[in-house]
Amino acid sequence: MSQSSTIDTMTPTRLPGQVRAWASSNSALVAMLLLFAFFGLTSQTFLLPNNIFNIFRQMSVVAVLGIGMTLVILIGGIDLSVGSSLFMAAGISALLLRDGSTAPVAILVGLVAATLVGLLNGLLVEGAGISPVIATLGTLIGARGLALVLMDNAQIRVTDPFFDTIAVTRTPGIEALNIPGIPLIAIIVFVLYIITALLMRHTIYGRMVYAIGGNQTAARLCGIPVKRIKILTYTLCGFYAGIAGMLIAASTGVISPNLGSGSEFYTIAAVVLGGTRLTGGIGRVEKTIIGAFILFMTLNWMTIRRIPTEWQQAATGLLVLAAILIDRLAQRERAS
Amino acid sequence: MSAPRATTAPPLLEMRGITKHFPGVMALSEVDFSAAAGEIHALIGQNGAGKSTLMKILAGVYQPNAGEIIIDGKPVRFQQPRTALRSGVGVVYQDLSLVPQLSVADNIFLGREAGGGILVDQPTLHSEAARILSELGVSGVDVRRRAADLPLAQQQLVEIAKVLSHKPRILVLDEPTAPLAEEETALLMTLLRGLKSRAIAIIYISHRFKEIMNLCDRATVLRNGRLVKTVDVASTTEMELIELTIGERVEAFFRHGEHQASDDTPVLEVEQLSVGRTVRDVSFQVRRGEIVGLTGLLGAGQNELARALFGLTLETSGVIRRDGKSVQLHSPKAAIQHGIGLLTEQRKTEGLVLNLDVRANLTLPSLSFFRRWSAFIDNRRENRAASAMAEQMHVKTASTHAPVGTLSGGNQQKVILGKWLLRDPDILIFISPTQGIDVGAKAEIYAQLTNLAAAGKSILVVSEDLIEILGISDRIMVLYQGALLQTFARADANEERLLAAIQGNLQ
Amino acid sequence: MTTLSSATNVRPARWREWLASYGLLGALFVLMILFTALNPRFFTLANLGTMLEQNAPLFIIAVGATFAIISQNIDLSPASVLALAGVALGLVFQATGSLLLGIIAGFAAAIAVELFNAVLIVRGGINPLIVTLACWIWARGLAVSFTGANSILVRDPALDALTRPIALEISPAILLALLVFMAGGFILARTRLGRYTYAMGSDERATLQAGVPTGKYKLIMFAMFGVLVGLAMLVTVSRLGAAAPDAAYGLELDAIVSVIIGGNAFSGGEGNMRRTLIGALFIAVLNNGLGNLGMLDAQIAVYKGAAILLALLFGVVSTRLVKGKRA
Repeated sequence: MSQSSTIDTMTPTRLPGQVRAWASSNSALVAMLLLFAFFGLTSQTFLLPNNIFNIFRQMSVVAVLGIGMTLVILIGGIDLSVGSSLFMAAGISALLLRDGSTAPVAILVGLVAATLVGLLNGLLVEGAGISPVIATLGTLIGARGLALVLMDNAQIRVTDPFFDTIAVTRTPGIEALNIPGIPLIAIIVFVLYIITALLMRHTIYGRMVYAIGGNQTAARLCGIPVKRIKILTYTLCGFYAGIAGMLIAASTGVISPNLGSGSEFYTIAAVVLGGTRLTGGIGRVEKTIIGAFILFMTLNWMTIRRIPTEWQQAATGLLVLAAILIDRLAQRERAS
Repeated sequence: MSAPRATTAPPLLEMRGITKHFPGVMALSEVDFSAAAGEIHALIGQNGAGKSTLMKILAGVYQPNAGEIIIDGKPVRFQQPRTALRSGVGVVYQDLSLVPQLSVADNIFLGREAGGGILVDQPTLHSEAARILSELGVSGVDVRRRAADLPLAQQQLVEIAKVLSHKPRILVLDEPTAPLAEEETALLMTLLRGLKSRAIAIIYISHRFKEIMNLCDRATVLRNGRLVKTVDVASTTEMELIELTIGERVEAFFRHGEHQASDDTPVLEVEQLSVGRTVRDVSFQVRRGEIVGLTGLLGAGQNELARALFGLTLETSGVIRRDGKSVQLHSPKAAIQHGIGLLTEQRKTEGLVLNLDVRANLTLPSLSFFRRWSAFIDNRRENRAASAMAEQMHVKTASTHAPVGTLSGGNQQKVILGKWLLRDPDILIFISPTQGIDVGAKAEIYAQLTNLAAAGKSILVVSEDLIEILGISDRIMVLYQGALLQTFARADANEERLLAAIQGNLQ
Repeated sequence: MTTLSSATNVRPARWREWLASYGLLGALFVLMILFTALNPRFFTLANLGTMLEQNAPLFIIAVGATFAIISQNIDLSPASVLALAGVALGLVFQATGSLLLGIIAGFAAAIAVELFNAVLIVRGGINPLIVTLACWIWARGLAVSFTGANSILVRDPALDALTRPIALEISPAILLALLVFMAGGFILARTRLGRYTYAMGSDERATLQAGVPTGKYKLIMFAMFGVLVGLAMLVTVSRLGAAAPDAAYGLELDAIVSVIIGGNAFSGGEGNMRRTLIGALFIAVLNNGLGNLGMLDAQIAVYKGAAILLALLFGVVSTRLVKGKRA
């Protein structure tokens, strides 16, 4: 058979091939390290531990949104509504806190609200058969509007000791080396990533997500409840958006009407920078955090280099394009 | 028989020393091939022998690593399909290349619409398309209908008309008769014979040796990317061709001797089953250890019936009993839970998740077997089961962690069968199990079917290939226009009677 | 004769077509009656003229979005590109005082950006959603950067005339939008570009195999979208009397929604301009009617979102009813 000859002809070039294969399948990590080195060399402040921790904190919201978004993109869908779900969760929690609820109740209700938006997305896409871009575009408009109506179109301050604690808590630092503690928010993000990555690898749900994204028909013929799994995935995405909403409520301390708008685009950018394919079935949750880190480390460096905020937005868009273009060209190189 | 003058006349097409590597694979190695005007030249070989690659090089889809292509004595290089088409190389691909949502006429003229300039002259387009189809003797196709709405066989004819309308001098047909019923095949044969007089060189790729014997002047056999031999068909027997193809003497193709159902217990009973408008009031039983063949003309309802039994169609009425108990098969999941498995001819679209590894594909229907702590997969047990199954099925792969997409077609087929064996259903439904599969792999599949039946599984085989149905079935059911026309015991069936029955003539 | 029957679903297709396009028309009438009942001023010539003019950019962009969606090249960037093109016009006008040079600069910017997107899609092989999403970010970013987030005053009698009614509350901008619709419908139905738009959206590989240079036609299509963005930009700048970096925010979503609720398939390959027109009218009536009820933006968003979802569900249900349930 030709199979054995395949292996034979590949043997001589194995070692350098392996390195190249590793680099091209971990291109996000390679890009991150290269950019990190470049930024470190061109700015002294960039490498300070406190600055790195700042990046962690700045990226936390998009990184958490990115977890759910990766799952949705893996099943071949997309969720444009995460920015609105996040806003809704944060807004409702803030409202409840203002009206005297305790923090656990406020958090629970906020999370449930965002999760319901996710469930609605799932039902619209899988139940009614509306394409995901359009359905989640509808909830993007609707969820933010609904939250704004509930909030009476006004800013709400979050003044709750629990939320404040989340925002300011750090691990003990190392005074002697002038290293500050790691922010609790960053730790929450990392823990969420580790848990989700493990779930994707070791649960039946995770396996089914990859099977559905890779070939929905084949998955269905193997008895996988495709619709239910997809609806569950959209719902999970809403849940993660709710968590992101809690983090943003804690860290900004005030819910203003356009909070989180546009974050869906940065989130998708982070997922794609992490190497997850929009066509579904291929990608890893844990690589999305790399994508998010690339995005926010670049923004951070631009701020340090005193590049005006407006230009940073333009540069970010072009950076995403460049990264994806390089990845595609590398893949093409490998294929030919 | 027309004497093949092709060997003496200067060939219209010559391909010399064609070599093509893909990463890690030598697809073609110094293959010579030639075709003369007015000849029908068969290109034969098992899957992966290099037929399609050779033709894709001729069509400009791939660039060869070495070798030259000479047309009319002049060396040519095709960088892309468009240039090849302009130089007179027309290819009818195996996977249809019609644009589903465009009309028949739009498809035929796609890329060179009538009207010059930027406008499209719709009336001319329609009348020209109708003229081309009628010239080919194709009737009953409305050129304004969307291609997607046509039956597969008509789509195939439109596809051929489209390629012919480019007036090619070299016409390549890649398994053109695969989706066609007898009648359309006959129509196509007549059409191709007619084309010979137009001084066109026709290259005909097929797995059906009977067609080749009837139609072709010469045949070139490829094996493992190398040229085996080019022969005159008139002076070669079918057996010789088959042997050249698989490289060894053909052993028993089908199982021999009577095989009887091991007992009379019906495992599946179907009563008055109707499926949409395609299947009407069909009743039958399948017993333990029995292989039941289900056949009919293309579109007689056999595929719909099989899919309904696997829960793929909701518009069903009637009663289905498993082991005597009435069951609702409203989804594949339900069907699987009731011990039914389905294998279709669509390996890549319905059988496998190509980016998942061999292990994950093997265990996909039986993930619940490896469940622990309610939601988790017991990786150790899963790996062990998958490796054992891969070994049992002789799947050739470097590791069970290799993506299944990197395997050859035959090995992919083994993975699909393996995943069902791992799930261990009582009833297996096969739809066209050997379509597009080479001779060697066919024999393996037939052997497996026999073994499964011997092990007490009940098997329903849906196929339009009468020889295949005759060769493997204990009983044969013939559908005609959605109704069960007749059931033959193995001893009472032969090719002629089946052929008459599928046309609706009760025997 | 072949035995294969070819007499399946010819009629349901027509029925579906009817329901898909006229069903929403019915909903549109209901909506207009509702708004008139809530606010009699809605159904006056003056307000209807205003409505059409307010939404003229939407009508123009929706034509481009129809091509984009039918050909499976979703474009999220037109509103950002519109803002950037407006800024280009404004800056050149400010520097030279020449409206003509400004318009040239504006169109050049719009076409160049859309072509840049097209090249990335065609040559780079990147998913259109990603390319235009990035453009949504960076083009808006550039527009804001160039102006320091301030609007540039653009006052010129010729430009002002574009949105000044000439008769019966109808301004040249409305006529321009109508003209764009007719031209778009003609191109889609009668020209090669239109034919290939459908073909690419239905099966790009097969189209390429048939010898159609799909890359070239994608470039042409995006360039055409650039021209449309330029026209919409002119109307926007004329209406505002200024080039604003935050102009047309959210317009891309309105345009895409117009195409889809009109009944065109998001999966591409089918559709027509008449459906988009009805869809765009529906959105225009919603925008104007809700805006005139004195509601907050947030409330408008809720009602608009709900109306759009209803329209989408209606489309899905009517399609299902006619096609029959598929397993």
